[in-house]
Amino acid sequence: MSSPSTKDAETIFQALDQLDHLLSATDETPQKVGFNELFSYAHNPKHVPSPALNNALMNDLSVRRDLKRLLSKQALAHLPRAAAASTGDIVEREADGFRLTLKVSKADETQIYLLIEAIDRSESPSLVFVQEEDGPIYRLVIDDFYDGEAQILLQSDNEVLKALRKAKSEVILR
Amino acid sequence: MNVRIFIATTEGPVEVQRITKEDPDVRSVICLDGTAKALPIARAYDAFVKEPTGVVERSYKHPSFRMDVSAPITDGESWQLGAFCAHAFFAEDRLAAPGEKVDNALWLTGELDRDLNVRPVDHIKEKLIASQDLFAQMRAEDIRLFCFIPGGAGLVPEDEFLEEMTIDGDLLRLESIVDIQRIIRRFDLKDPYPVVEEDEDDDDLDEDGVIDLYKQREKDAEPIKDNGLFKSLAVGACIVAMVVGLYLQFEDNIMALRANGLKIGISELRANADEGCEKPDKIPLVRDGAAFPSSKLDGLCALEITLNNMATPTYMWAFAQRIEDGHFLLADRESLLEPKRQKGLIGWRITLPKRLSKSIDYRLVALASDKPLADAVNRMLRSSFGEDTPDWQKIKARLEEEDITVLSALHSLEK
Amino acid sequence: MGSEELLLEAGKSSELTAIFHTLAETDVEGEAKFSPMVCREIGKLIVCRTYATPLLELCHLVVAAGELSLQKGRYEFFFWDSGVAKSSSFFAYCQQLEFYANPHRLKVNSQTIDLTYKDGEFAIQYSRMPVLSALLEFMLSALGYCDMDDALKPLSKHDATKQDVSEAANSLSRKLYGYLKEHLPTAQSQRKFRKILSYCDNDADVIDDALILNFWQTASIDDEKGVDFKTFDSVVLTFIRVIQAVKSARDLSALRHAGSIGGDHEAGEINPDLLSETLESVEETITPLVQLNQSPFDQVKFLNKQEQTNLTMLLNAGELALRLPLSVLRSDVFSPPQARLTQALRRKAKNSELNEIIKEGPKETYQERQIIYQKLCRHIEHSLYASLHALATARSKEAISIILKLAPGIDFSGLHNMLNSEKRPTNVISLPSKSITDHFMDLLHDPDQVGEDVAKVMSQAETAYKGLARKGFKEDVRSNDDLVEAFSKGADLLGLISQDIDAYLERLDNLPLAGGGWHAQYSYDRSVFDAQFSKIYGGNA
Repeated sequence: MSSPSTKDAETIFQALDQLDHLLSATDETPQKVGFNELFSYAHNPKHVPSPALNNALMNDLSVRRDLKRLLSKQALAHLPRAAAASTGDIVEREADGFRLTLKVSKADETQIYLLIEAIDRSESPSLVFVQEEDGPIYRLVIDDFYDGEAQILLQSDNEVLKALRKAKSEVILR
Repeated sequence: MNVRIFIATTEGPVEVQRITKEDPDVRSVICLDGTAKALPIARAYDAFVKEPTGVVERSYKHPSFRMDVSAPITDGESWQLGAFCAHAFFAEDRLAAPGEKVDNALWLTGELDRDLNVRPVDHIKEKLIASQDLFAQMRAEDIRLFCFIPGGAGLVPEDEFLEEMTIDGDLLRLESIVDIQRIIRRFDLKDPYPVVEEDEDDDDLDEDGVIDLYKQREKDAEPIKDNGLFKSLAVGACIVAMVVGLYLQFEDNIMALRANGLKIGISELRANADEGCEKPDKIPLVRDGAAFPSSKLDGLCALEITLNNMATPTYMWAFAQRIEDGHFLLADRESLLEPKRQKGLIGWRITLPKRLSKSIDYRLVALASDKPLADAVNRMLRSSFGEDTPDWQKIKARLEEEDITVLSALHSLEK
Repeated sequence: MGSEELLLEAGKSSELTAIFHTLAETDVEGEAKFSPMVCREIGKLIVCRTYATPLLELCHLVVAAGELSLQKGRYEFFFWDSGVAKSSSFFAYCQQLEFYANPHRLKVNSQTIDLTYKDGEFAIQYSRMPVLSALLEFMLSALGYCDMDDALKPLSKHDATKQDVSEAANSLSRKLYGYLKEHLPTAQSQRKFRKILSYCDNDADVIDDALILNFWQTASIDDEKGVDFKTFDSVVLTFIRVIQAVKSARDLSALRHAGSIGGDHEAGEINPDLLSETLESVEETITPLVQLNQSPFDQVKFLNKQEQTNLTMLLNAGELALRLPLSVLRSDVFSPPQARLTQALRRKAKNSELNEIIKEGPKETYQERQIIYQKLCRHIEHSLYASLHALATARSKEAISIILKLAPGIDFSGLHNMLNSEKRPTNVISLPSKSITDHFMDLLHDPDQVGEDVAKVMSQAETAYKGLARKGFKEDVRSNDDLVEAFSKGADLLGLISQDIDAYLERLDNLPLAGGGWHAQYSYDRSVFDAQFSKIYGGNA
């Protein structure tokens, strides 16, 4: 058992066994959220997040931290939390050359228009990320930014909308 | 009563459920079924609404609307005709809400230009096929459904297809149009884009300003004989004044254009370069399938409606009936009183109105039988006499019971 | 080790398995980003701890990636915006973005990108980039983007030196070491190895089919051992690994004895590179199967998923399949019902359902299993013939090597003269017209032109090709160099796999069985496995 050759054999066995173990995944083996998906989520409006990513973004602080770092590098515009004096729901934010406004639909009061306007910027954002204070980061795809503006209609119970109305939320456009 | 609007798509008809004026800061948007889901054509709709590109704001003086529809419309421009008409009805508070009882509904496909001309679109047959359930439903609910499609060569599906679709010209009508005026006038909507007309005397307008298509004129054109083979038929014509620069829209609402080797055709009689309408040039309208192209009024003297019997000689006769009130316009009685089996091409000339203030729809009917037709026609006229609006379906059924082949085509004269 | 510690250990190592699963499943628009061989390569450098050099290469590549970005230092785009991790994709990406790079810092060449620092130079081959990209993906999943980004920050400086890169690589090495220490525990492997060696009295040479079956019968219901040895296929694989490890250690010892490799080492501390090489040699037989799933071979569906599954245990065993023929067969036949039992247990099935599964038994007997292997052999031969036809259609000289595989000793000189010996230049697309190809194929079937034997083989090849409706066999191979490569090199891999199956079938043919032959053997084993399954899973059958 203690012969040098047996000790070497044990080392080789360990490597073989561990490799078998690492590569033993079946369809049922859980997956960890990969950076590839996080990058697509932050970068590509066409990316549809997997349930695992959605779950991680709600519950996994490290994934949320990673996304925030990635967004801070990729942001077109950063609209920080509203001024401390702000009270009640926020219906307009303006910073970094962009303005976000909320308007209630006259057809249905439970539906709200989010208007995104480029005031003095020429870039076209394709994603809105809203981070609640110490909370999750929500993402909204801007399908159609043209002529310096975009409009997204949201249900009033939409999580993104709720977060947007909070003074302490931050908004990142990219 | 309000009117229901359906926008035709290849996936099926899409009902316009609601239009709402929105805050002018908001872009116009089309949403799905009252939800917050904006359709992919929302951007195009905004451009369609808002000036300077849009036509809706120009016509209805508001820059931002929200339209709710019952199903997705993914791309293309063929929704524009339906969307505009929905706005026209909405502007007069006549757009029916979902589930509301209506007598009339519109099914539309077509692209609109700035002048509200209707431009051709593709996949009309596919859209009709995809709407079969709607057609059945409308029929079951006794709702009259007007299908409006763009006019132009090759756009109206062939008559066999329309028969399959049960487009009978009565409860379910198909009309090709070159602009939206037909719809505006038919449904007494305010003209969204009025055109200044020349103020000319119009002897042919009746007290309501309606052209009497059926009033016999002293100077009716001679019946046309082709190749000397055919007996002339008198023209029971509509005679009205012509407004220069306006268009006449020939509409081929088709029930059954062809049966037992009998075929209805149309020729334009256009002013000759030297002799004007005295000796007009005859230009047969080429049917692509069964569709007749619309005729530009400019330089048009008359239209000739023809019957071509390609089978064995048979007794034939024709008449026209105004849709609005069922008023008959009979062809020459001579051919009834001295019946003769005929074969080949026979024509009626319809002199064109100079000016129209209201659209006139009429049904052309051709009869063919192995027996002389006089008795059957007399019975038809007697039974219809006194009725407020003779029921075409009943008339047709009676004629068919007598082993008479009945062909009909609906037409409209429009300025 | 207590049960809590066992669970904890399993949890930690399962995170690593989950990361590898994610790595294998990572896709770019539906296509796997990393090939199976690349994933395996990462696995090897993790378990052998040979990651120091790759991490250094990776750090240099991060510098290059930052240079090739419109926003300097934004290395992410190079790795996550360049498509599937293939050498050719990276080459194309580098060529496209060279414009943005500082020419004094970075040069894009045909085989490498060359970095110049104040204190030295470094070249990175495109062929290494897929593995390095997968390594970065692995590191990010394991350590998190924030930590990695912090560690890589010094590399985004415009004047970063080679020394800075080395330091960053060392920093990453330390981080990875710490992570693996936590997540790649050695205790479980050690425990398994020792238990097995102890069972065979420290003599791996005595391991045979009977011993493995006996061990499983005891260990699978042992409260302590059961965790590691519950399923029969895992037991067989563990025994195979033990034998391979012991043999490899002996080989190393012999090499040291002969002075071929450095002898200055402590027992158990094998040079990581040597360990990696050892693993590669052990994996020699499974490698062809893995390779078939990656470019360019994946352009042709030589073996479908089920066929590959049928071969996995046999090829994992390698030459040991000849030493443990019954164990491989037992694993193949009895693992599927045991897997069904495990799944049923996971969803908390009732005893009656477990009993039903046990009663139902395997889907195939030993004889039927052997027929499956025979069919696989025939299918591979069929595929080789079809590949021959495809290569001949493309006038590829590689057709000769397939003919030699199918009909060794054949006179192929007539054929040889008709095929192209040189590869088509990449910038010239030759599209021989169909009629010319048809004429050429007629010649290949003409005994007067190519000889009786070749004409016969070519005729069989055409029949085989027409009979295969799988991906790759219906495409036009004439204008597709990748497909030609897939057919020619794929044939080599199929040949290797076929040899292993043939040898195994021959071994089974000659296996001395107790009276009654395979039928009796199956009946006996069935009763043994049924009884054991009942003991393990608590059924009463």
